[in-house]
Amino acid sequence: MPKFAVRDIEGIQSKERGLELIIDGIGQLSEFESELEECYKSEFAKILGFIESSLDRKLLPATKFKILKSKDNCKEYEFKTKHLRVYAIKTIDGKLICFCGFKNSQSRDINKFRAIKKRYLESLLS
Amino acid sequence: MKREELIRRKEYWITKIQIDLFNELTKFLKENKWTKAKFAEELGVTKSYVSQILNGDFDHKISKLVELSLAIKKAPVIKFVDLNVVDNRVKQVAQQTVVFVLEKNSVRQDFSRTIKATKQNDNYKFSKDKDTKYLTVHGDC
Repeated sequence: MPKFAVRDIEGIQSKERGLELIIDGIGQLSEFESELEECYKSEFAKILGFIESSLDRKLLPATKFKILKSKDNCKEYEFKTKHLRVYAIKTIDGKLICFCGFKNSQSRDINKFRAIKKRYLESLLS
Repeated sequence: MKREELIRRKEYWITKIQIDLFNELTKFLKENKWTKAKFAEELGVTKSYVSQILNGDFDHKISKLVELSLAIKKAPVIKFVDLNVVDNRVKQVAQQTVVFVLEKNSVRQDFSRTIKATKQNDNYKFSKDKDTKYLTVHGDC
């Protein structure tokens, strides 16, 4: 059974809370960033800009941000740049980043994101 | 990416400006019930140029930014702030502690409250509980 935790996303400041999911001690966003090649760092900075703007309750273009069709009532979000994808869910406080990936592994990543989401939400059930 | 690094990356600031411009233009079009085509015609530009802005991809000359701002009845006020000032604000925020609550095999975030959930069919209902009778630790998990 994985251990879940959450923490503030490093680097952003916003009106709503931006959180990243930690699974067994591994931050999903920070781990993704640490493994990124240098050529993707500029896109990562952009995606942090999108996340921050979204948490400041600003609209984002459909080419940068999408609300996915969730099977339950817990909203799912996708932040996009040319190559990167960051997946989040809505929380009471703001948004929780659960998984990150690349454009070319999108359908596989969305399935993985939803599996993580399900396990995390079930861990909150009393 | 630490805040100090993020605010020193041009992509971050370009993104913020693009998003602000997108928001202002979207708001203007909605309030005035203009289509993209009408706006393009009024501005004397192509529809694809307007689409570019609405895709958050505007990256043209300063004069174009000014033209666009005035077209949507906005003054493009730009304020330069010393990076050290922005950094200091970050350091103040960083002093807040993120508190984690440990409970058996699950770990929850606690900001003087506990988040609980119940589920019915596929619907989750979240609630906040002010009761904090848990062991708390500070720092990374």
